[in-house]
Amino acid sequence: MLTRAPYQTISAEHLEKLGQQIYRKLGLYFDDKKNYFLKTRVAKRMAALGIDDPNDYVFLVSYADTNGLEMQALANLVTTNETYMFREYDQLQGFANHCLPEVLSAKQDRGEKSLRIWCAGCSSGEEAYTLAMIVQEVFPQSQSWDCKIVATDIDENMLRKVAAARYEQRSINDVPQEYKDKYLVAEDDGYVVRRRTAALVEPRHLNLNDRMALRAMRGFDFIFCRNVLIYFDDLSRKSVVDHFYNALNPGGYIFLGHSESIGRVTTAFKLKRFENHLVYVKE
Amino acid sequence: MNDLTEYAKQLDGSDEAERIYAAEDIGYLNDPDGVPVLLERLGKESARAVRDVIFQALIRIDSDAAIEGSIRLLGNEDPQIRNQAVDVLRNKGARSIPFLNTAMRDGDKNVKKLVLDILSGVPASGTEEIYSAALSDQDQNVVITAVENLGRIRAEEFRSRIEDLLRPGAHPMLISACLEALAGIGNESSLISIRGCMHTFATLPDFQFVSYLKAIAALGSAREFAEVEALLGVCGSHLRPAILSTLVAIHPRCPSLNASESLLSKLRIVIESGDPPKCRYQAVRAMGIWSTRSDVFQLLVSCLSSNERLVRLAAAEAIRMSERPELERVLSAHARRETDVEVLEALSC
Amino acid sequence: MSAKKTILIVDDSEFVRSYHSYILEEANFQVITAVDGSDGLEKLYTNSCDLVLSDINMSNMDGYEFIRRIRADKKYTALPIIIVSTESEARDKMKGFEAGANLYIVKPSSPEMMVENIRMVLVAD
Repeated sequence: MLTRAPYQTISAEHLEKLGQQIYRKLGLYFDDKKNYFLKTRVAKRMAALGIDDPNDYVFLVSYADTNGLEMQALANLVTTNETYMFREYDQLQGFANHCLPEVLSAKQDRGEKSLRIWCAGCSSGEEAYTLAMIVQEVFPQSQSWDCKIVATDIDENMLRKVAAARYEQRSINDVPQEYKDKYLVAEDDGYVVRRRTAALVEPRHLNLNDRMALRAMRGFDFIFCRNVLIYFDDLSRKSVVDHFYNALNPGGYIFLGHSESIGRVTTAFKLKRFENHLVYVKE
Repeated sequence: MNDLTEYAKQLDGSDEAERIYAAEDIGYLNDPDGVPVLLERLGKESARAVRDVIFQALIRIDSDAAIEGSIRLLGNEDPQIRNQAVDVLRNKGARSIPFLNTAMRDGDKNVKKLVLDILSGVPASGTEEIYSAALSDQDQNVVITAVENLGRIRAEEFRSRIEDLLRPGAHPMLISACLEALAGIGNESSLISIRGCMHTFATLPDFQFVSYLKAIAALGSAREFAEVEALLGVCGSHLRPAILSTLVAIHPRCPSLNASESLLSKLRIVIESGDPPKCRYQAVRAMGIWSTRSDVFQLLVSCLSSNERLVRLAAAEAIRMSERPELERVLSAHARRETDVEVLEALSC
Repeated sequence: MSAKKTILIVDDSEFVRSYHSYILEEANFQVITAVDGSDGLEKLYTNSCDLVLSDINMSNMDGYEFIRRIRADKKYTALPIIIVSTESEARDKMKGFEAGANLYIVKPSSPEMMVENIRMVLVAD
């Protein structure tokens, strides 16, 4: 008699129900092009829990996961924690080609000469330096403006790495060659961010669960918080995003991970489309 | 001036950010006296962002006052307020059930529907009275929502009540809701009720057919397998995915069922046809059940080279059921040529 | 033969989304679904839709707000929008039309009536 591997018994309907729960509880959107990916991760969780029937797993996640622990365990499998420069390139294109020029143009019209970006949950800083490179590439006049990328994290070890601005090959594999040439210097086994670019980034300690610390963050034009909030519970996630709203200037943009949905967390931001990029703005 | 008084003053301020902070602080204060302050502000607050934080604060305040206040909001004219109140009450969990009981008894049909929406995220314990009342309600939406919830939360104790609702002439939406609920909590007697109500496949409108197939997928056996198989060449192509997944779902309950040549032939036609990729995916997966057969195995091998990504993916999954000695060699050979990340993962597992 | 029209169904009930999908697919429409107004906006912006069918009472973003935001975008001022809701009072219907809906159907509607209404609105468009 044929035995079916657990993942063989997980149907499209099970995946649809689980996808909805993931969307509801983590704000992560999985479309059906990633069904196999989700199926195998779900099968792993089922095996870990000793569950044979996918209906039982759907029930567990939907109604019996009161502390959210199983959803977090699933989140750890379906998300990648790796960080590297120019990660989620499509989103960065939207930022570089549309959002950043729009904000800069509006500021120029108002006679303002400052630009502030908050990289929240910056980890070892690859994203912050990516943004620094893009700002300098798209906006060479940034030299004469007051430009700052505030890179915050709760982990002091990570902040030391940000300050060092030194990265191994695997962190810079996706950096376009012209950016590498202009903004990075090869040194020993890795690369260092050129001083002129690194100077844009200010590492700062901040705990996203500290609401008083969040209130002190005001006046930003962009906030990047990618692949961080999925690890928060629903209420905390909402609270952080509400603080992000307050931290942004009108006309400012917020970027979560490309499959994270801001709209699921709050409806305070407005959805805008630039070509094939969807972005969220504070009006 | 105590903290709450200070925050209440800030909550009435002109600066939106300050009102947000004030609402948040009232929530963290966790003082039941904060509830009327928040509710009063809600009545005059137009900014969505501030309203959001007020509701988060109501979630944080651990008192019956927050529950009672939120229940009163279920009748509010503004749907944002009604629906945020639903979220607060959902968050309160079992503690809100006694209050929801009262709302179910005294509320109008709209409030009753919202009570059921609140319970849709809550397991059944303690809610029997609410559901019992809902299943007898005069309003169809209340009954349908109750049936939907009961199926999802696996409330088997309500199985026979749901079976009783399956009557010819009942609203088609109610019939479909009952079928889908019984797919989750039904048993052999449910199948008898279902067949009694639905008579034959031939008389069912297509939109109800899919719900019927879900119930059959969960409860059917060899007899239903044969009936469903016969539909494959007859029904419209939009029904094929549901028919195919029903066959795949029934088979483990009757593993000795051999595929008829007619079925294999129909599956081949779907795989090779211009059907949508999802449908072809289902057909290939269905083929996998009989992958120990040489002819089926060869077909699956050929599917590994299909131009359609979903067909290749299905073949990679289905072919593993064959457990043939040459399986790993076949998978490795295709893995070397595969460019799609998901198909590659399926070939390499 | 003209291409199938695409309908976006927005409802927080999984069962209602499925049920309406079955009805519309039988009537030869292509269907996309969304779980609330926010999800609906994202799906609308990333797909080409010919008509929107929306519930009112949904968590996160309700139907009226969803419709208002659609109408605020110049690209969608003429997009046919039908509300399908359990709320049946005259004031609810008035709110729906004020938000920008073309039609208001009280559910549960008969499948035939739903399809007829959709076809009527599409022709008027």
